[in-house]
Amino acid sequence: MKPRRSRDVARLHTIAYIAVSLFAVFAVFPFVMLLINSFASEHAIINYGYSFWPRELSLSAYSMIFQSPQKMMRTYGLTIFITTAGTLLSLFFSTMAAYVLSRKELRYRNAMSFFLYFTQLFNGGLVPYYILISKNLHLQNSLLVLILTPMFSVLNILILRNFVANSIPASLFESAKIDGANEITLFIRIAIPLSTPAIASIGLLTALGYWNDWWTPMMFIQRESMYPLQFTLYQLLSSINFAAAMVNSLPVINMPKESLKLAMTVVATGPIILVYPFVQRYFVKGITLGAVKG
Amino acid sequence: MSRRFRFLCVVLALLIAGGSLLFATGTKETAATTSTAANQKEVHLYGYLLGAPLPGMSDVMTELNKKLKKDLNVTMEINYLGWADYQSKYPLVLAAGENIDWIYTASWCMYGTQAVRGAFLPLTSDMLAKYMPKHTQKMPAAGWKQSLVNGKIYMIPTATPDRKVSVALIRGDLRKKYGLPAITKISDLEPYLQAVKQNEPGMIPLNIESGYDLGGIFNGVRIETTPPFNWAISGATPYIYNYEIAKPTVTTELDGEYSAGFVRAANLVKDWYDKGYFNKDPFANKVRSKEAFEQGKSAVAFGNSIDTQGNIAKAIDSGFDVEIIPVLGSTGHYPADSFINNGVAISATTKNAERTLQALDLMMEDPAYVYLIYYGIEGTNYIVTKDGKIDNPPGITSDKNTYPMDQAGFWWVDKDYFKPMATWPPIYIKLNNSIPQMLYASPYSAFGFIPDNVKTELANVTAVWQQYQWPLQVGMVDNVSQAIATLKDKLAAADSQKVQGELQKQMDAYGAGLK
Amino acid sequence: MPLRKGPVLHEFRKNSLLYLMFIPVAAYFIVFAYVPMAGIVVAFKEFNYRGGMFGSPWNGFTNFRYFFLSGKAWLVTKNTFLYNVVFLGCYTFFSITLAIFIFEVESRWFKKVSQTMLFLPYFVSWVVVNAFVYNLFNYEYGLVNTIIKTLGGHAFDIYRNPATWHFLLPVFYTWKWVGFGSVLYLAALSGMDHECHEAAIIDGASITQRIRRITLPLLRPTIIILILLGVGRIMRGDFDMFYQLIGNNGRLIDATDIIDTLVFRSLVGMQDFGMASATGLYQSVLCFAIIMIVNSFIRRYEKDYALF
Repeated sequence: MKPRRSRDVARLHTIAYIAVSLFAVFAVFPFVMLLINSFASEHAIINYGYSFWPRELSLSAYSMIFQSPQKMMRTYGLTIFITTAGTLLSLFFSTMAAYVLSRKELRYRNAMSFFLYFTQLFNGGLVPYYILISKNLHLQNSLLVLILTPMFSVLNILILRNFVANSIPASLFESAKIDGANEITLFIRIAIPLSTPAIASIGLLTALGYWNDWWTPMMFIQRESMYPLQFTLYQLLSSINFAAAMVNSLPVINMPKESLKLAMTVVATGPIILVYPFVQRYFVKGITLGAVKG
Repeated sequence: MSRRFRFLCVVLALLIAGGSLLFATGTKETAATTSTAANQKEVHLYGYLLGAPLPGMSDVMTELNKKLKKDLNVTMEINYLGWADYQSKYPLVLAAGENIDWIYTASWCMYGTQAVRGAFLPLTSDMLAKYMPKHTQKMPAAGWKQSLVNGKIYMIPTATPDRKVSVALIRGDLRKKYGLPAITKISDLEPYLQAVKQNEPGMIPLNIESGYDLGGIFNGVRIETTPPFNWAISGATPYIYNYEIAKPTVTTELDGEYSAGFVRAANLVKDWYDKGYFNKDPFANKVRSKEAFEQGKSAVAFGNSIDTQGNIAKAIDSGFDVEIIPVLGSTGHYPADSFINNGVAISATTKNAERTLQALDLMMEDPAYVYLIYYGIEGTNYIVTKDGKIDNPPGITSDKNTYPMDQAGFWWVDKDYFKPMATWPPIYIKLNNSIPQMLYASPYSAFGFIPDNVKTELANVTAVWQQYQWPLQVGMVDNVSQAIATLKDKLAAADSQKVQGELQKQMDAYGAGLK
Repeated sequence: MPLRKGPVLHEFRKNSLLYLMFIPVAAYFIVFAYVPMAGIVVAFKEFNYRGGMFGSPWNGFTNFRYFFLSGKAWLVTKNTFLYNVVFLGCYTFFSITLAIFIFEVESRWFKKVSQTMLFLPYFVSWVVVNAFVYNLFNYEYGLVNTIIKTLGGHAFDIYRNPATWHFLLPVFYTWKWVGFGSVLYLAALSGMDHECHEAAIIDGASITQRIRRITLPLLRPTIIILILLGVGRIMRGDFDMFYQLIGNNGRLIDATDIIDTLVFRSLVGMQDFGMASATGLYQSVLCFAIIMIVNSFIRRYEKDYALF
């Protein structure tokens, strides 16, 4: 018996390693090209396209991005703050709402889920949203608009709901209830710890959403001191694009435009790549549910 | 006990939620304070421009606010609408109407449509004479007439419209290398393109993108044989009129006396495309020909005499010999820009119209203000050389300049105060001097179409034109006459005639109103 | 407890804490989603600034006319639907497969590195993807064609042939999102109870059997909800992707036009809020109809897996 089991497991493992590696290379290959060519000169990119070994190297794209180190540091700091605060708040309240929706004894839970989901189907468009935020709530140019407006996503809440409902045995809750726990205790002591994989992955996706958000600042932030990372880069790119078409400007030799697009992606992604491996261990480790048997 | 604890937990949760709402609500801008120094109350004004704030903007604004406070007891804050999103954000900012006193506007920047929807404050000649005396004095009456919409003035046009013509740039060094005669019109480019294709393997004769460059060859060739024309609506539409006639008829690029020229041009570009003179995929390329040109990739560049300045200078610096071909019509003319090509409008929701007008008058017409907001701070961002030209300060190159001129969005200032640039090569100065003779000022240059009655048809014509006419401009069709026939069918299906009729009606009314 | 007060109040009293816990999220959606939803009326109005959203005059269905008279309404609706179905299918299939593979392999290092690599495309904007694809595939100096020419072949032009894009677009979509998707499925796999697997091993099941008989069924709730969530967006196209990659290429337009790109092309230069809002409403109504049908279908068979 033993040899047969190891052989088919080993075979699957081989297939798995190969398939995943292929995909990973396919996924990362453009990014690697991006990285290499972000160090290429504008002249090389326009004349020869992207190549593995750029003929001319240049740091002008990066020096343009980092030309004001204090500004970049402030941007990074701001973005990190918004991402952390936003993700923590979002996770806490989303998981709480997901927990509520998962409780089968709640009579109106389906109506409540529908109440949330309906907002995904219909929306009034840009105009009322813009007027609400800037004219009625006066949230423009505030830190609050960057943290609050992207905070909740119905998709995330429903995914969390499903996880809590299906992966945590009802008996756990029941036995705790018999011991006199109320809903909040159940939520904090049982639901949260046992949902760590889901919370971690939704947390990651939420954090990435905050990190990459350039739409909210584009709409509502005018003060340069409050631009988060992606938007700062995006502004830089559009002013370069514009400057290249500009009227009376004095010429700049080899202004980085194509290489700037690439450098921007690297600068925005860099921190995430460094953080991700640390966060990742929460996904793969599950908490043993031995408690049920007892 | 447990009930109270439970309750407290909920309260705490809500407090956390509520607390984050209380914290840092939108920073209200500084409230108006009564100044003891001046008679008038101090006000804070909000302006909007297109583009993005430059690194040196805060210094310039500090200086500007010093002057404005002294002269008018006014402080100002300027916000920017980025190029990539101004089309969606511009109407939103107006729709919200919050904290906005003045905003950049132009005939190509939604002036007509926004004015008609009530976004801007109508300006009477009394107001203008009283609060903008300098500018009223400088402006010719024709300029004000151009900003009329439904009989009212909704914007303050610039006193100095841009003087520019469409140009094509070629490599003089290559032309001479292959022994070709001087080139003065676009259809004569073929021997040059052929020589480049055969002998310069790293170059693409016509390396274009699908925005500005698309019509470079097509239009240049076409106007050699057709009567002069200009478009009645900017954007992707077929409607044109002859701007050298007093009472023009609105027609399309495919009809009447323009038809033969269209067919000739379409056949020529297809021939050139098939011969490989164009890059195969202009629609996926985002790099403009003038940038490819200065890097030595493209043999021809398209642009206008103003936006190619930088490219010309750069190309010359790289050792290329640049030759400029003005792209003019069969009568040797190019339509002049209207006065409303750059300007400012006052928001309908402003509370400080008079002070805004006064501030704008200074910014547009007072040389000290003009130099500050356009060129930056003297000594830091620009210097005036001994022979009266503008140049970078010593030791500062253009990419280190924190306030490169013309990028701050103040294009409506009075440009007659400007001095020439030190970097203009002789060939460019020569072109600039010859431009005034080429320009033809048509009374219809400021005509703004209000599409409300035909918006359905216009939307469909626009979509059809982009899908079926644009490929014809670069010869990316299998059969030219078939493609033209298809285009005509689709236009008819989109009820193009209806739009044309409405255009004619509005143009006639506009023409009558000008008298 | 007297039932005079009615079952609703009774329910609220019984589960008061739970309802209270739901309030923050509910408040958020009321303020940021339901209040602006009133703006849907703009689809039926001729918007002007003086009247604003509620004071502008009504114009019936005028704002819808351009879309339905364009001659392409059915084509783009069909394209939007079909592309999204293919995208959803590929995304689901490859995310699940990769998640299972990553879960099963043993090397911790491999898991971390491969996941990080799979995730990177999420950060690359479509603007950059287009620049990249153009640089790689363009006819004159693209890397791919240069290699082909060096090997003696003829260069080919991917921008010429619409049929290639039926294949390329799902490839690009999968490339961008599969990292995202596999994270979700991986979380579900991590949360599963593995005692069944251990029992099955003892009983002599092969790994393929174990995956088919245990893993996949246990993953079913997650798969269904993720598919349902995707179906709810089936009539909304990924505008950025299509606009950046295809642009205004007349040759490719008919094969790749979706609702969002047609609307953009038609309204360019017009900034008519009403017309833009009208097609948005059209897409919403279609999504609503589709998800209601699919959701009640799922409900009939597996009550717990439905969205609501």
